[in-house]
Amino acid sequence: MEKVKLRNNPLFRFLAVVLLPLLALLLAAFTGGSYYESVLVLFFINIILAASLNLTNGITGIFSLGQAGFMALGAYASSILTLSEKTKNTMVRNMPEWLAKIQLPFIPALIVAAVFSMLIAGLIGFAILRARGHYLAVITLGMVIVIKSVLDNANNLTNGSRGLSGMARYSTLPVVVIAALLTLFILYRIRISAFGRAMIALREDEDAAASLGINYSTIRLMSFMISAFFGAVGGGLWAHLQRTIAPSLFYFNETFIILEMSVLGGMASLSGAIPGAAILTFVPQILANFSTGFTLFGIQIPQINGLTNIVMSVLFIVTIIFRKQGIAGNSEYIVSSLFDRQTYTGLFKKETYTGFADAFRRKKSA
Amino acid sequence: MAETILSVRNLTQQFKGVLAVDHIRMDLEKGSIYGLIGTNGAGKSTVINMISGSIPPTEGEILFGGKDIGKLDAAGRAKAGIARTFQNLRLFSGQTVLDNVITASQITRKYNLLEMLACMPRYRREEKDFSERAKDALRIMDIERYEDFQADNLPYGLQRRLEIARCLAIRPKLLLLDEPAAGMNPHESLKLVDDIRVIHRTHPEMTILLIEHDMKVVMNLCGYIFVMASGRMIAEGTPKQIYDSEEVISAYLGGIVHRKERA
Ligand SMILES: Nc1ncnc2c1ncn2[C@@H]1O[C@H](COP(=O)(O)OP(=O)(O)OP(=O)(O)O)[C@@H](O)[C@H]1O
Ligand SMILES: [Mg+2]
Repeated sequence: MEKVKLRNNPLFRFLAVVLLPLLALLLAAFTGGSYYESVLVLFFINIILAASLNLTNGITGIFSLGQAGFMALGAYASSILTLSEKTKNTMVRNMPEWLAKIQLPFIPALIVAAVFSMLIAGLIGFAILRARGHYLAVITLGMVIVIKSVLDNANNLTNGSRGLSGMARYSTLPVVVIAALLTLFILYRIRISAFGRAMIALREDEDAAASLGINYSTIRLMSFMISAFFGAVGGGLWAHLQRTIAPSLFYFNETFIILEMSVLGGMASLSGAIPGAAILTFVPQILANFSTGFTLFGIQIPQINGLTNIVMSVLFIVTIIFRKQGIAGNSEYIVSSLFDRQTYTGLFKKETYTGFADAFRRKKSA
Repeated sequence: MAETILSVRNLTQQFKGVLAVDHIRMDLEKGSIYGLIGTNGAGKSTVINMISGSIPPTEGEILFGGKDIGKLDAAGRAKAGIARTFQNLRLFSGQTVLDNVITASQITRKYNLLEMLACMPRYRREEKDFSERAKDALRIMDIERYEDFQADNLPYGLQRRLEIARCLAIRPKLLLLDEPAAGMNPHESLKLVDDIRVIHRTHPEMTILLIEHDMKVVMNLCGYIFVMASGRMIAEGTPKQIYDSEEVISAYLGGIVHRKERA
């Protein structure tokens, strides 16, 4: 029998990527420390954000940098919907009365916010998805800028740059765990359906896809809208973890964090969102302890400003150079091992290169 | 007389500086195999690209099953029943052989996103049907045992067969093959000829138009042949007529060598 390297062993991968976080979760439950719990909640929210971006960037080949924008829409819309009339009226000046009056329970608010974001994505996507490759990447980044400036200026809805605060902390661990699993499950179902195959076909070869009756604009728009839906779910959950939001939180920094999670984990793999989110959630927390300076073998290391940013950027660059396809490559070992026995055997197969640069290569070759 | 499935009038493609296809006329009858031959750069692939909707023609009209399909895009024409292969293989190389073909057989999809998410009966029924039809197509091209292979791990000859299987999976009325035997060894191309014959016999309604350089393949398979040179249609007729035509021999078959072969 062919010898399988440890890192290719499905059991090993499963343990590393699913059980370790679960262990951490248990640990958090026992320690009961609210700090650990918050970090874990953030981890599961990040899974949602990264997985939603993987649908467009990795699977469909739409290289979007706009997820922070949809996250913002979800965060704001859900917050406005869950805040009480009294809070809104004291915080936001001249909020339209009908909107101030609405107060929904968290889950319905989250769903309404996600649908709202999806519809906005439909409008935006209709206009911009004709563009391809890096042009589209730049346009989606522009979209983030536009959304931020709208939030900054729509004072009577968003309280401008001061942001909103006073949201209840609805994003508890059980809520985000269920939300993350549901997100992965739904995205995975889409991935293995006719829609997912069409998305992958468009990523791999637009002309061939068209020759098989796959409609370029429809499928890309669908992918973009679904991605915006789950991006907004992530944003809504995040707002109800932080309990205070402002437009500047959904800007380039957040764009980069989501992108890095997606790339490190493996853009072409939905379940790659899990290791990606784990790195981007836990590593900065660990580094934060060191950035204030520490003693190593009796040598006093001084405070290092921006240590987290430096380490994460280096990690990003190293990944792009040495493993473009990210940790998970394009295999769905986690999700498939959980939900689908059939594709489980595909684990030992050679992984193909479908990575970051690939998305940039998707230009129409006439 | 059989009914005409495709009829092309004044079809023209003017690239920058090159008149690749110059007012050609073609009529294909339902259920026959046609050949399209011509020297390199004669404009053969461009004709297929225009019929399949990959590139818009500069001029001319294309009637498919009596309807003008000029306004349909490539995807629309595929749905109308036109399938094509590419001169340079265009497989979904990272996907499995089976997934490549299912991506084609799902052209009949009726279920929507919600039905899929709710796993409704129509979703399950159609998905089952897609994979059955995909497997049928793989069986016809005799590559069903590779269904779990990644497409680009197949040897080149089999990749060519996979591309044809992918076309068959959409159950086309018109199948356009752009040099299907290119890059195959003699053994493989003989097998391909046999298989195309089988396809023809088992799908009597399907019309096939194939571009091919290998004269043995063309003469063996096709009931009728079109000859192009520098964008123009210089001759058409039965294999025998083409074989005997002085014009074709001088323009394409390289005169003397060919006469020697015949002697
Ligand atoms: N996209 C394009 N832009 C500009 N010129 C093109 C383009 N595609 C083809 N041509 C030119 O049009 C002419 C016809 O090309 P075409 O590919 O149709 O020839 P062909 O008969 O298929 O040749 P071959 O046997 O080499 O495949 C050639 O001169 C080619 O250089
Ligand atoms: Mg050609």
